[in-house]
Amino acid sequence: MPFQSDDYTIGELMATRISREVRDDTYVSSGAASPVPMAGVLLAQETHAPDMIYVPIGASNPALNLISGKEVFDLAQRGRLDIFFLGGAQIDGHGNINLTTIGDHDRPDVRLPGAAGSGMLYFMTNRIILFRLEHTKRVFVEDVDFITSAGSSGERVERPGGPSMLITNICVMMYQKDQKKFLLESVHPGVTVDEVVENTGFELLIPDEVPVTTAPTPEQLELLRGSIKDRVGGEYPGFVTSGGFGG
Amino acid sequence: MPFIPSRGVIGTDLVNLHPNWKIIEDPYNEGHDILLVPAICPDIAIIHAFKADQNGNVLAPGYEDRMVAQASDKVLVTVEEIVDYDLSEDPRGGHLIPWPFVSLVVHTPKGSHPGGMKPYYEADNDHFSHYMEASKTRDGFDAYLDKFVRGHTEDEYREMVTRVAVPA
Repeated sequence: MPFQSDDYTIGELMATRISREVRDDTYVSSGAASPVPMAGVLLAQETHAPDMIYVPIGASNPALNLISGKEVFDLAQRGRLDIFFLGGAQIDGHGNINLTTIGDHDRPDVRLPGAAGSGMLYFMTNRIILFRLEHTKRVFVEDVDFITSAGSSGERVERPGGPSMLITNICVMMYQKDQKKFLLESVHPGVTVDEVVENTGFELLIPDEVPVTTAPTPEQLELLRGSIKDRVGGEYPGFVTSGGFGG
Repeated sequence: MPFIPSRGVIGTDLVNLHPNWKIIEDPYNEGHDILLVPAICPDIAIIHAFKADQNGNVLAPGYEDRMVAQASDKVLVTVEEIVDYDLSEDPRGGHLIPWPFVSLVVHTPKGSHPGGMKPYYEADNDHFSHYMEASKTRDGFDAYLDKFVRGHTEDEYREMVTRVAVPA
């Protein structure tokens, strides 16, 4: 069974988990098509990280659109960006992501939107949180068709940052830098470890005990369904109208 | 600026796509490599902007537009409206591209369609959906081109997309 809850949506569960990653007094950014990360970052700002500075790229709300995309890239290259969020049409077990083409690059089956800065951000942001709302074998593959950005680098590459967490609609994984693999951290309510394995095309590390992802508290849900919903809806109206938030 | 160094990117397939990018040892960071990307110098830039005045000053949506204009040999700008005042004296609501960087201005209302041009108009999502559906097959794509593009002027296109609902 996929994730199931009568009390909160998958977006609310993921946003709540994401919020725990956000540290106070840091810079955090996100890019296009990222309503769940935005909700998670704003939840952190409303709770434990009031002095975190959130600078999403391309927001239409002037209160969120504080600096340009170029300046976000500059912050990252300067080593001052703590978290950025990336997805991937394909993500492999070593943390490589593909946002470029599916199939042979010169005659692709699918032409994707492209790197949009991820080739640099993945290296230079302290922590990259990978997220996907589709946990299937077509997304989580053994090797990506095209390495738009690499999960790890050799010694001659200056690389302070890289993948940290991978969160999907069924589970949470943490990247193990020394082994270049993902470790299953938790499964969402209603999901079994076997289902995660069946729907993942790469080998992942599985501990003996895998807990269930911590549910949002009533206080967190109240915040998410209040001003956070309004602000996320201002940027991503489709996410709200399609039931991204409950209540 | 003949080229620009960038962190990251080394080890991705993006490097393989660009034979003119170079990887050298970072002169400020011994033992580490860094990527160099050469300047792009377009023959022609085509930019859609908000406004132009009689002198060819342009008010554009983004700061990148001015950079693109500076880098290009010829700069063709399409605009939503022509104004009768000097934009260099009142560039409110956008980013100025001064006339020395502009070769040609064309008055093209709705020039972003089906994309949006805030604050003039939003993206036409129905049109995008229609195009997405039509372009799934070669025949559908051809039919789309015949209906909206081939044999039609800009004025005819604008008339069609602003007055006629997209067929279901």
